[in-house]
Amino acid sequence: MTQAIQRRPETPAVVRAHTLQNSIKVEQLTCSIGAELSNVSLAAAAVDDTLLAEIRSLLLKHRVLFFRDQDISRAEHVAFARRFGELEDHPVAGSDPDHPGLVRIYKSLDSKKEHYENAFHCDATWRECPPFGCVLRCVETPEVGGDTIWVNMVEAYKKLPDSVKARIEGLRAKHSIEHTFGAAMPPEARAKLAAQYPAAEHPVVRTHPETGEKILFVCGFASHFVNYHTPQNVRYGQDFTIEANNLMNYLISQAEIPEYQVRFRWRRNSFAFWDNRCTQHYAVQDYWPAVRKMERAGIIGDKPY
Amino acid sequence: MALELEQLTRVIGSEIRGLDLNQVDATMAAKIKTALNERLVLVFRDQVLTRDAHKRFARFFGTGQLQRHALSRSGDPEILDVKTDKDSKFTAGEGWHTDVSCEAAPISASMLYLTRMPEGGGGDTLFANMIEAYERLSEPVKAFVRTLKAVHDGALPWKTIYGIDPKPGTTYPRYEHPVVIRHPDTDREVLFVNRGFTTHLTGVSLQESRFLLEMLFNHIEASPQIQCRVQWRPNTLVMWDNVATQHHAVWDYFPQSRYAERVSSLGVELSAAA
Repeated sequence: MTQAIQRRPETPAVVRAHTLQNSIKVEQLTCSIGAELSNVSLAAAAVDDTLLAEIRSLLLKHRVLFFRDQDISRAEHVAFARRFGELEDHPVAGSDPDHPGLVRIYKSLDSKKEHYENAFHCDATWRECPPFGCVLRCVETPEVGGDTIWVNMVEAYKKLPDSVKARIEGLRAKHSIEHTFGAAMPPEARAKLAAQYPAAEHPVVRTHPETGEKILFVCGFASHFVNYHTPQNVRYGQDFTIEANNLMNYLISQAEIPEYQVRFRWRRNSFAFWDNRCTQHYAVQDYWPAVRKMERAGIIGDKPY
Repeated sequence: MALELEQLTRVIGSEIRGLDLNQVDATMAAKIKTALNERLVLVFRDQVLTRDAHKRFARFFGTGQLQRHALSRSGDPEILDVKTDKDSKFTAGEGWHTDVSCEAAPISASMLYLTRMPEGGGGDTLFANMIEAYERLSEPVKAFVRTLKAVHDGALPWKTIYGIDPKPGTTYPRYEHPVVIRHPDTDREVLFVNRGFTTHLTGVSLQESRFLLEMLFNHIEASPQIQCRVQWRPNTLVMWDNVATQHHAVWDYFPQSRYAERVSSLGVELSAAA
């Protein structure tokens, strides 16, 4: 298992008002999540510690950052993401051969319609150490359609009724690639994938390692609770399946609440940089059949606690 | 003059530029109606409208009559004032719903004009295309839900949620609509149940009704591909086809204030899809 590196900025993550006037401009997109940054180049930020620290602190504040018209190279894309940690490849989606860690999410005119299906999710929670975050570039997009929605899962936790917070305290869930990416595979291929990436177990409420915030941390990759079956929760067998499944469905559906969301419309060379620890996202599949090409640098994260 | 339209998403919502709603005449209104039938949600920017001009515009649509809002506090029953501030316990339209679907002839089109933006932004509105919602059900489920009817009851939002009693001697409207209706203008099939007003399906058990409605509501909420998200600016007016859409007013700006005024054009009684 690879260890996450460089989790802390070299300089304190403080945004200075006078610096902002001269450098990064910030436009908040909703009251809950998302900001568009302008007057900054990601290529320049990759080699500028001050800019990098500002971007990092803005990421912690807004949870997903958007950048327009970034005409930078793939190497610069990778270099920027690498400043936040090591990159990872994806077992199903392929990477750019010249730029390891740059995962290609390409849809073409002959991609099958099912290939566009999506659900709200946090990236790769089936890993023991899911990504810290991702830097995603739009290479090509239809004129209309193919938006992405991000969800603030700190807010989703904060707004849960106290009774639900009490109920889920200490609960843990399994997250698996087997029943998600593997679902459509032939049984042998699915078994091989499951053996290579055994299901990971995570707390249902995780703590943000940098801000200390509590985060609702179940999504479409979560298959079931692993420690629900206690005498307090389960009187008879039915309590387990019905109550546990209802609770899981309820928690997973929190990401569908528009109050916690931002919806972003892509253009060529738009970038999104999200904190994968405290957000979920959904790639809207309303554009089939059309060409849409995205390139994602996923930054290795640490083990949720 | 052709309308200048920019699509917000593939299946719902367009922004119209370069049009002053004060200047709309019957010919232009017909073009707007055609665009509305196609896009279901139209966003008009930079409009400066008096209440009279807002009402004048609305009379071009539906039956030409305006909805008289039972809960209006604006002093004019044809203008529904939507106000949310730091003292609000809820905001109007906080869950997915179709406006006043408890009437036999529900509102055809609504026009919401923003009069106060929350400081610091927020307060977007999401809309869902209910023709697409029907279209995206599987064939067996489509065939099944077409056979059903549902009760829509004004008491559900207004009494149970808002806690407001009807005027003495009256009751809130309540009506049974087919679950799949035919759009009065375009004949298209529309999934017509909503969490705001639909209490239950008739002709099935209550338990069956709960699970079936939940499946349909979840289908709408969990399908961003049939939705658009409209970001308001000062002087924006948004018009929507109330029969073929649902909407959700995002309340992410508490404790800031957001004010708007809605005028609605009456529609016709709905019939089942053929």
